[in-house]
Amino acid sequence: MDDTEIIALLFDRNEQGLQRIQDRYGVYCLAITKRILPTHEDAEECVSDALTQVWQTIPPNRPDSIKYYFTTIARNLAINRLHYERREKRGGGQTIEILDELSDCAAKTGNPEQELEARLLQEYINRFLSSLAERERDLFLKRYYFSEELTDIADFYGLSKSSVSVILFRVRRKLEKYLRKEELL
Amino acid sequence: MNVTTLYEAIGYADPKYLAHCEQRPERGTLAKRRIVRSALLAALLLIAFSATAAAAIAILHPRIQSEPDASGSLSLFFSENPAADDAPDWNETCYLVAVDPGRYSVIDAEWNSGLMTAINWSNDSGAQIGFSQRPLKTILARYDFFNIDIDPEELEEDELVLDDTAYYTVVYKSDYGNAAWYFCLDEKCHYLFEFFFNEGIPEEERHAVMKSLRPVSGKDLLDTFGMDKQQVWLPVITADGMEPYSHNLYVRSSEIAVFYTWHDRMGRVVSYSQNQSLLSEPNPVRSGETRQVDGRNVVIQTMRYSMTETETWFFLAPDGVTELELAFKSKLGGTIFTEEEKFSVFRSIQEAEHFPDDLMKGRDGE
Repeated sequence: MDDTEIIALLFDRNEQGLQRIQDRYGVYCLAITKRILPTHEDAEECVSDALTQVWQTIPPNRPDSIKYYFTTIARNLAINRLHYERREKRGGGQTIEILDELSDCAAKTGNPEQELEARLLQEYINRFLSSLAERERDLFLKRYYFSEELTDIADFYGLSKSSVSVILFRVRRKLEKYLRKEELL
Repeated sequence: MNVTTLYEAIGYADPKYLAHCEQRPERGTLAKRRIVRSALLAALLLIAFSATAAAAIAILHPRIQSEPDASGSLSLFFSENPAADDAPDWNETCYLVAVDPGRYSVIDAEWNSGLMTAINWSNDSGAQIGFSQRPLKTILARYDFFNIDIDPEELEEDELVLDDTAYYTVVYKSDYGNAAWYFCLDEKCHYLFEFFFNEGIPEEERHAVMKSLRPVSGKDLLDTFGMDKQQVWLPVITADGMEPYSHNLYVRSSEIAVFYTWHDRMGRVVSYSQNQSLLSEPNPVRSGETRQVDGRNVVIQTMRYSMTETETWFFLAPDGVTELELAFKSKLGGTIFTEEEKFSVFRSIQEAEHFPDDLMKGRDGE
């Protein structure tokens, strides 16, 4: 069953659609949320909540890729959960490190007006990604979308860990420059 | 926009990009990168092996290595990797660097038995501006940082062409906060040497330093910086319960000291010792328990750290000067020596005390 058929099930309000998503992408999605959250239980809960949100948002949404739609929802739930964890001082693991890395491309404090333009920012991010060389883009997303360890990324692409760090550093600088140019910083 | 907003926005990356990055790179791409990296390493190996046959080759097992800490100064640590390796001596010209005399000055240099040179530099006002180093292949093999995978075509805004001499044509600059790390590469992007600038060094000054760098021979460095002894080969000493020790000669302009590192049969460093009798100004022993061993006074000091304990034995000459210092590491990963073993190490060294005559000679008495 491909994504089109799964979406068709969801449009028919057939819960088999959710089961298919769980079967097909549940483990994958859990692997990502586990990289963000310190406990397995929290990660599983986010995946479960993400399934609920998929049910609530399809229809009307009709994503191109169920896999990444589902993953993105779970990832965002996980990051929100992490903020809760941080407030409660329960630790944050690698994602804290990732957020720290990204912080040099972001403002130090939130601006509510700009927060409202998050959707716009998503478009800018995609424009930025399209401007990157293929390898840069792949590494950037491995790290900042999938929250993968530098060592794992290095192994995957046959690079040294340091090379990955250097490339990511350069991409972050490009991102910062790009965001400044677009007056988002 | 705060960092969380940015992180979430990345979550809406185009699925086609997400799908692409999950595809394992083609074998050819990986192979190409490995070839580039292998070529870089091979070039450096070639440089390392190009030392003359007369060069003193040290087999360090295990080795003392060094790496810069955040402040740019160097700290030593013991490697517990038992793999032995070769290294050229200082007569080899290998793109060591020097700065115009009078403008910048050397404040310190580290010579860890041919494994690495690291030179700390100061500016006219005496402030340390950073350090340079030319790690040899032993270090390169262990620090994948130096296997930076740079494609000549990828040198973009970070590229900084400073000079067009025969020695280097391209400098790859990487910023670390407000510090800057310059990697000097040849025209084929092979690593030559590097220079790390501390924070706060203006770009103009950094460029002036980089432009003034030139390759010099090890001998020049020895002459210039008062290094009056080269690496030497000491006789192997054995002690009960341990493999032959490995050693490292540590040379500075004002002192000569011999460091031994001892390891057990697993290759783990279990102790180090230092022959203080070769020092021009032996370090006094401040306090500790004093005992008699073979008719000598021995002062024993115990240093306790968070994970280890080191017991240091200072063997004193009749006039109270420390002749030999032996440190026995214990607990974490180390062998706990019995008292008899400690005496055995001491006696073995004493029996081989025919240096400093041998110390002044090269390998195999050359």
